Amino acid sequence: MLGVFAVGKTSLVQRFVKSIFSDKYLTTVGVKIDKKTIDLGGTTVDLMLWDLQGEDEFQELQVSYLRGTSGYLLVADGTRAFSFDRALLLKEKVDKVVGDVPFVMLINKADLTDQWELDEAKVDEALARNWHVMKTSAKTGENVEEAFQTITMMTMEQ
Amino acid sequence: MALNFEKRSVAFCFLDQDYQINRFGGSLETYGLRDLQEGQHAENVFPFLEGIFIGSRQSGLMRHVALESSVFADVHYIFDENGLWIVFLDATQEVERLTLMQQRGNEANLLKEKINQLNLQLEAANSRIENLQAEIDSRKSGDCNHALDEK
Repeated sequence: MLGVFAVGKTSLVQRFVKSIFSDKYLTTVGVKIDKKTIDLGGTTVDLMLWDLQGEDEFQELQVSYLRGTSGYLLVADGTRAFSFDRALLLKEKVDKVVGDVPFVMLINKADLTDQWELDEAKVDEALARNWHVMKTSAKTGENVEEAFQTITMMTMEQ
Repeated sequence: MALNFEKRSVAFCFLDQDYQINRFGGSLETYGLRDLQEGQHAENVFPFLEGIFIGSRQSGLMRHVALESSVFADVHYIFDENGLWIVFLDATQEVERLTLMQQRGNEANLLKEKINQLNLQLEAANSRIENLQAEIDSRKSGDCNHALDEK
């Protein structure tokens, strides 16, 4: 899980792995690793989910965490437009380390429609690059299962 | 050095060239690593280190890895000609300190972002008000001129 701070990376993992959600913001330091086994079209897949600390003024992305990455979810917060721009920069960093690895871009907090800041034109730009882009909500669960299923399928097809 | 080591709950595991456990020791239980046996494949014991077992044999360090609940470790992985050393050092205290600092910092940044957003909304609202006012003034002026013309 990659993205700047407070975009909802941990919340997405918690929703997917434990079906829980909390409105309280708790920063992640370092990396937390969760495991979830899913069934994908009759195939059992063990997912090791690395929830990395978000980039902020204190910590840059630690590239050592990326070693062996099969795929990643690049998360932005739809209520904070700059998080999308920063996600694009993060992707460039990641590409240099892991190369061409499958990813899905998630625009999180889709439930906060009255606070939505991200211009649809930016999303269209990402789609035009043939990126997989999904709007998610860790709060309601919207598209969360789908996001993890999609990235799993993409990594298996690689 | 001895005191520092003791404080850091050092634990280690040495894997052979096939990534099977060859030797182990130290405070493994601190990190939730129990019942290790020689010959076990490391992937089964350290599934979170799977990425190290594939690809290049390049040594490195993963800082602040959450292992057991509330325990964090700096995980050093060192390749040598015989295999792979994995060394765990307790980083819990450092993570606790960083978490406090980072939480406050990020909350302050989120607040700043919110204030900026609100300021932008306020500016936009003020701009609309000014435009409306200008339109009203223009119409009033237009009405006055029309009245004068009629006279």
